[in-house]
Amino acid sequence: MTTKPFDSSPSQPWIRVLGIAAVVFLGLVFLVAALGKAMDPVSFVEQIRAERLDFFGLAEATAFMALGLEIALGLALVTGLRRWWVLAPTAALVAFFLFLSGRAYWRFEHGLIDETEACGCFGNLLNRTPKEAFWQDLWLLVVPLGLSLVGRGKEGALPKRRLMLIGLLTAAALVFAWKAPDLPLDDLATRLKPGVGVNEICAGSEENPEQLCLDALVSDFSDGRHWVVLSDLDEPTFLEAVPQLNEWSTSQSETKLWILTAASAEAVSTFQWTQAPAFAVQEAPYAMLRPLHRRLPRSFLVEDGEVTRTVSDLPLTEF
Amino acid sequence: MRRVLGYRKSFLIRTTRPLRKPLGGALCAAAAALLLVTMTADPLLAAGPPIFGFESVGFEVTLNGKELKGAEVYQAEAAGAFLILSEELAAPVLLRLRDGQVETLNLMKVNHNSNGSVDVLAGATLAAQGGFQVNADRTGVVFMVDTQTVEMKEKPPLLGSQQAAGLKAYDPHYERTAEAYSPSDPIVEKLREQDKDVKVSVFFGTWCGACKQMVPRIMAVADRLEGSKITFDFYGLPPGIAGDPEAGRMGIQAVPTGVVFVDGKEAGRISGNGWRVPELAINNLLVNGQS
Repeated sequence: MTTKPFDSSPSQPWIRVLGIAAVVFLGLVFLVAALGKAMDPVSFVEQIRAERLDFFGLAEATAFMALGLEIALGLALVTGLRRWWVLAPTAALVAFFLFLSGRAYWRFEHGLIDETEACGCFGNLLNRTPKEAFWQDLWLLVVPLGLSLVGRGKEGALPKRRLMLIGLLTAAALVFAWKAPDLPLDDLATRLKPGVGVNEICAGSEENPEQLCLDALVSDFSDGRHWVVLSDLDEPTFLEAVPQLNEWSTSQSETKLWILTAASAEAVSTFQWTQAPAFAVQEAPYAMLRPLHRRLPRSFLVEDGEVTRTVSDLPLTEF
Repeated sequence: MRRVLGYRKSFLIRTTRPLRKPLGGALCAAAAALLLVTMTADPLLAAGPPIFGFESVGFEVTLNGKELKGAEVYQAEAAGAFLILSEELAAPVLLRLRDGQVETLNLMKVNHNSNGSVDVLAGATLAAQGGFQVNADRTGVVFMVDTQTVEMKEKPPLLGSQQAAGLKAYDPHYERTAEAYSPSDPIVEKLREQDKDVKVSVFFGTWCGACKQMVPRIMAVADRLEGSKITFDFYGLPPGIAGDPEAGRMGIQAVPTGVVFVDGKEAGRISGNGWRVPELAINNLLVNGQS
């Protein structure tokens, strides 16, 4: 009896299906990651600066070019394009992502950064440690990239219509990213939305014994009604509204007003002396607050330990 | 507890007695009296509104660069005001931060309440002293009172080994927040019953915002465990932590951190979410070795 040798030629339909499934999966990963960044381009620009990738100081331009490339490649992969001129830049992009997450992992392991400074390739939507980011990227990107190379057939004529569609959709996605900061997407683009518990708003991963969640920082939030404003204490709209916030705060007995800030101790001190707030100002870790907003100020209502309402500005109209 | 700023009510005096004499002479006399009062009145004097609910806060006061020992500083957060009482100052000093004003007032209008809070009563005569400036290191304000320079500022960080009483004396906020926290009775009972020698060293910074929320909780636990085999020590660190040799020796990288020693050996640490219920974190460390 003879056994049939393993055959990976394109003539084997399952191999071709596997290759197409892998390329579509990889494309979806690219698109989900790009969506997270497109909804909050300001954070992405900040991240590019933090990673020192803002070539010639053009962080915004770099961010939009990177986003455009990721979206275009994602769309090409999702539509099943497995030409060398798609897979070659895809492999380069995957290598670049792995370089970033691997570098963050190395820095973390050597005590140069803390675990909250992971690569935010998925924007503010996911909370990943450097270790998690590296291993997830490895599995989510490298494995499908490898599989996408199998079962490729001959490259035919240039798929002009598909490329035109990809170009149009990429341009539309970039316009969306450009306009996103003004669109009411805060609940979608951040981890702060109605239904989230204050014990779920944390800095650090669950495995980290130093993980700090909002309910541990401010135990008052577990009971009663609290309006919370996220602020850097220096936004003009916030400073202008301080007298109104003071007035509202002193007139309330059932609802307490809090400011959560990652501003420096000096900035908090200056604010206390110059504004004399009638409300509580609580310092909180940057890693806890940054995933909660696209821009400041942003506000939310906490009732008995749960976020019940969010406002993309100060809650003055809610008072 | 929300403190409320009160407002002085104006009084309207009416007379119902019919006037029998011509008004001319009386009006002239009243006008003359008013003119006299206006000419002789100090333009810097005014009758102030009442301000309720000043609470003791941990600030120090200097007069011409010399610390005023025994000076009491109170804050009415709702009113955005501070009140300074000291025997070495001619009169109580009222700082109204939102108006940018410093005033002195008559001591008779300062009322001490049984709960330790202080009120400024209605009708206090306020003598304007001018404005104030935030000091160079932004830890307080500088102003003039009767040609003397007064500075009110945060105390220097509390450093080294302390007892809970030391923290309470440093800033009454610690005591008020500790009183507001109720440790779990069953856990406290369990901790009281355990027979090992346990020491909890709490590393903290008086400059650290999170410590002001978390450290009072373990102070409340310490109060409840007084007389048990569990003792507490509070170790104040300077801003930046790194320069402190004890923090270096213990590998403290963030505050607050509680180090639990059982029979002289470190059993574990309280950090992050362990501060939610510190008595539970101590118990977990004693039972499971994890907070």
